[in-house]
Amino acid sequence: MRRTVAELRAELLKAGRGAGLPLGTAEDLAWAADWIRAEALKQILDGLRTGEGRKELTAMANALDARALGAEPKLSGPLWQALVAFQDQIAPPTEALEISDAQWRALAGHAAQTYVPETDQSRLRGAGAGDIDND
Amino acid sequence: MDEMAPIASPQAPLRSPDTVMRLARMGASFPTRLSFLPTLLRQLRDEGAEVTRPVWEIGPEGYGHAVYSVLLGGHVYSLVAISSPLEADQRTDRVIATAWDTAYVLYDGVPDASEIARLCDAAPLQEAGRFTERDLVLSRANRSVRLFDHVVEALRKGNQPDADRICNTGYLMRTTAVYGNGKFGIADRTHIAQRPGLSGPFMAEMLTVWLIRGFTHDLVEHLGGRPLDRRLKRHLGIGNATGLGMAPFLVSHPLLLDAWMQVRETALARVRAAGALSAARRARYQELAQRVVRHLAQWSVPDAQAQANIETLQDEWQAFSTALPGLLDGETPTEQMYHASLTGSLELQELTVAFLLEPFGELVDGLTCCMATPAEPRLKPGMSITDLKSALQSDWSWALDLDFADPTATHQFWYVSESKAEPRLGLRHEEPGAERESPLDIARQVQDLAGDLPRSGSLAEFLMAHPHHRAAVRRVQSLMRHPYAEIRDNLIDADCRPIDMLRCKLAFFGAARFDPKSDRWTRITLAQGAPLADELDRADDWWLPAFGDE
Repeated sequence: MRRTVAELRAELLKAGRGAGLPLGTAEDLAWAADWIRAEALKQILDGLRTGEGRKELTAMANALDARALGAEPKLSGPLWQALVAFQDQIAPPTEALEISDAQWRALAGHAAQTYVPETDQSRLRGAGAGDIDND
Repeated sequence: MDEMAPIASPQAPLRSPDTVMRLARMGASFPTRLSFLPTLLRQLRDEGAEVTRPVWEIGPEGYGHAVYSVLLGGHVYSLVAISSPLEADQRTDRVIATAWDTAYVLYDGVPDASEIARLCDAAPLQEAGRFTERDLVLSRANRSVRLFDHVVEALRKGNQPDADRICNTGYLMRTTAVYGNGKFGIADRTHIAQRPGLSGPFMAEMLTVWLIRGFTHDLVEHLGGRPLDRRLKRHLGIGNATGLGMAPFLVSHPLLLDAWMQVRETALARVRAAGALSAARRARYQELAQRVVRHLAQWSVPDAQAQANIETLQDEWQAFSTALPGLLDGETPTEQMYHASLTGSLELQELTVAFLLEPFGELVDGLTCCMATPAEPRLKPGMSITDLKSALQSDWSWALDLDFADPTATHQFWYVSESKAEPRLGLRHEEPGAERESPLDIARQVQDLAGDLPRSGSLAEFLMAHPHHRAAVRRVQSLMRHPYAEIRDNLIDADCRPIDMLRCKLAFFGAARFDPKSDRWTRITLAQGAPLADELDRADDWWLPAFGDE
């Protein structure tokens, strides 16, 4: 299904946070959304699943710092390329962003970990407004 | 500041971010001529834009659809408006609603019959629908039932509606969300960000809202069977109900917040340095001051605290305008007016800022092109820890001095509810869910960072060992170049009032007549007094309008 970059960016940020990545790492992934396509997303989803994978994603964001300081990190693959493209502000791909439903569900599953289950109290007080407004 | 274009105009010093970026002051904001809606309307006027209504398929009960088109910056945009029956027990301003009186899409181009049919199916679903890159903005609005029905009944009887009731409510419908930038499949902002007329922040959203306002006028005239008096119509803007969902935007877009503030503060600094005034400008200030008196007299709200603030402001403004003739003489009248306001309330001070800018369009309007910023904050791993610490000391004392061991300092937490992703605020020490809080606790994050920083060394190495400080480091670094990027208050404190953030953002949109319903949501009016589609020549003179003025 076609997704917009803004949708992918928002979902990546929430999914990263929901899966327990450091906020700054989740931001780096989200801001690279312009350059992220199916294969890079697969790498992210694989990474978010395990503690080891999350460490690798975190290390990848740190490797961007090393690269900014002139090092040449021994990293490759679609996700690294996307992060580097963001860092270098290379023109993003123009083709429509197609993401499979399975990938989107996986991403949304992690994002849902940032949502707080509804209670009567939160429904009534949390937003500060009643349910009906007919005036 | 080193990223800003060189400024040729003389200017006074900018107000300090420590003054400007406090919640209480942000919560006293007023719209200015630099706000987004007036900026858009000036653009439409400059282009001689004409609004057409190629489709009007609205039945005798007021249900159906209509299309409005307008040419802006070489592109045609169309508002597709859909009106449907709605049960009274379905009518809520909250995000958790699932049905509305009316639904809207701003469409890129002129929709053909199949596109109109697609939008008539999808737009009433709002968040549950799916949209395309041709769809630029998605919105919905509910009737202000009492006023809407009154206006239709009056027209049907051959009368004009009651002027006081028009003045008191100020709109026929309230939008309860205006979605842009890629949500639910609509076009990403990058798709239109370079287009003349839509390149500024929220321009497509403002165009949508202004066209919706015209539709609400047409709808009551259709149902009432005769035209509404032009003066009444002009004073029917479009309402809006805004809740917590708008507040995190200011925190998640720090560079944009800085750009908006830089523009407003730079405009103020230029006007303060304007020197002696021409007779025409002195007269203009006098005339505007009297209009503000009338505007404030017509602004009354049910909330007791908000009403008390308005009444204080009414008194203060009366005194200010009485003193005005004396302030307007001399070599530095704008500076004198600015200083005279400083003895009053925050509302008086911020109102005066907006007032000062109003007659100086040619000096300040050009600054609005600096209000959009494409960049995301960048981390600078080469910075020394010593430099980072010195930035913390100079810019963040408001955060570092807080005592987070005190439970009141962490009393609230921001979160997103599972129910339709509605943003909410909870009480940390009483309610579950704080472990999933949204990261709006900027002051606490930065204080944690300061506590873990070593004496010296490499920032890149520090971040490898402490990756959870990455976001805070980026914010500290951003604030060094973008001094208005942070709200300098603790957003999880017991005293934090989200309504202050909402008012600041809404004032930048151009909203007035703030009508807070609690500390976390507000109604406002947009486009009240604004030109109708066939009178854009009035686009330069509707700041804080008063009902009854021509």
